[in-house]
Amino acid sequence: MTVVHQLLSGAGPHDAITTEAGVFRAHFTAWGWGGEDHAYRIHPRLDAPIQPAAALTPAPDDVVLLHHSAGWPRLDDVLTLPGRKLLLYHNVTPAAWFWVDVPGLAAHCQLGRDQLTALVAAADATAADSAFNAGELAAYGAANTVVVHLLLDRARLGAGDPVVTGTARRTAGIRVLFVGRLSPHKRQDEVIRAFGLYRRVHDPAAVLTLVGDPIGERYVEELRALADRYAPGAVTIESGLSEAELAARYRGADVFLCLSEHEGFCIPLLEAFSFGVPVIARPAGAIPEVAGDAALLVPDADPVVVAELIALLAEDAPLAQELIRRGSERLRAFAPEAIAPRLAAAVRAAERVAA
Amino acid sequence: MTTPEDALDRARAAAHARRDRYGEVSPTRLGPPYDRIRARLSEWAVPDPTGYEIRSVRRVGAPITWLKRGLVRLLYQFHAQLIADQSRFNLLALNYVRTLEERIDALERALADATPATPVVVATPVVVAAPVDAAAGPPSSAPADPAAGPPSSAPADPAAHPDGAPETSVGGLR
Repeated sequence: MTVVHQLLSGAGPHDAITTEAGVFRAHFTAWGWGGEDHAYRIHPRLDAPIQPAAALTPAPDDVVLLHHSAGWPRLDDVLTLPGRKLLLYHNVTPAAWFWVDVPGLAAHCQLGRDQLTALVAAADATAADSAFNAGELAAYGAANTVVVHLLLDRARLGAGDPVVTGTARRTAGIRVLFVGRLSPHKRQDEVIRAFGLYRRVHDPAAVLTLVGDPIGERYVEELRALADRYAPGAVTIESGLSEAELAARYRGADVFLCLSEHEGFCIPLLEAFSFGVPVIARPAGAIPEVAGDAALLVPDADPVVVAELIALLAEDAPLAQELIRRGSERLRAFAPEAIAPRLAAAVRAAERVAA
Repeated sequence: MTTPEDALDRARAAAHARRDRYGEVSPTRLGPPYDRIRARLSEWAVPDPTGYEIRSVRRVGAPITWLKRGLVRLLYQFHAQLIADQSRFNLLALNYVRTLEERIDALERALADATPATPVVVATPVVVAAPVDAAAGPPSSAPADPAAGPPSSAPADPAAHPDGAPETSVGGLR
């Protein structure tokens, strides 16, 4: 019997990697595979069967799936684990984004990048959740990396058919939404600035909602100050939302605006597609790969162009409907039935290489 | 209807047409905030712990906090030496990195200025001298003559610098 253990550097209740590990485990169980899930740091509020890393004792033929998204606290322990190692690279945000606001996190990210060479060397097989991430991994010596896109659990947020559930279009007082960690590389500062310009010139009743957990209070304070300057009273910053509340934010949105400059995948794009929200995004990292032709990609460094794109979407209902239709189509590429075989192939690759 | 493929061009045209309604808008700074990092590096190089960050969240935290702060005060002299040593290293390392950065800038400028016909030779550390007749002895430390063309890649002559640590020269621009 195939046995796959999963090892995470940290596990928490709102963590995308932890959620994905749970989805992976459900698939492994459905395939009749065994194994357990472990993490070095486990959040006390986590309600998932994840055990401490110290309790992981794989047999030599077992596969250990290493979810790499940050620095490992004890890398030697990871490298010397018995079993066949499958490294799954979720991307590590470059530390330069965090040195100013959250130096501890920056050090952790730097460590995560520095450890990649040793991890790749020790891995029997490598996988990445986007071709963009696979490309980064290749720079550290990985070859034949299997791309296993993130498995989106659409039922989690209760999304229905996007074309049917798409909200009635507003042309004034539109609601702009961005969902993502409140972090410098996500560029919520630029979302606020572009939204402020749009609101001033086109739609004084427009509102912006930013949803995400903050990486640090200082950055959130900077965002609040920007909001007061560019769109006083029109910006809401929300953290710690339940899944039902997050779904409600998507349902109420008219435009999803993502100006993030570093994304290893970007699940919120797929969530926006699921809820029938047309997307404007900066083509950074894996975003073009995930969005395909279903989003308006804007590489321009001119926030006025972004503001005009928002206006175009607000005023041109057929354009918005076409994006919603394409978003619905795009979701098929990320359906579990399309991705699960790649996950199985990655595990088989680790077994085959080590055999 | 605008197609998604046409939307960006339309938005750019509209941005151009309505520019005056937006007023002066600075462009987006793309990429990590290296300017902010550089601006604060010196500040971070000198550790400045504050005693007010020392606290205890236990049930009887107040006396523990008082004790901890007292210990820090008693050890002030020791910590001051540690901080001084660490700051000295941090600042010197930072200064060294800045020097390297300036040299890289000079290299990049030299490469950008070089034409295909006159390739820039990045030599090992050497003092740039005015053109020297090979038979006339070691080069002097006179400034380079920019009109004299690219420097040679001759090995450094340690004797050319008073303390034996020759300056690094980059394409005669430094």
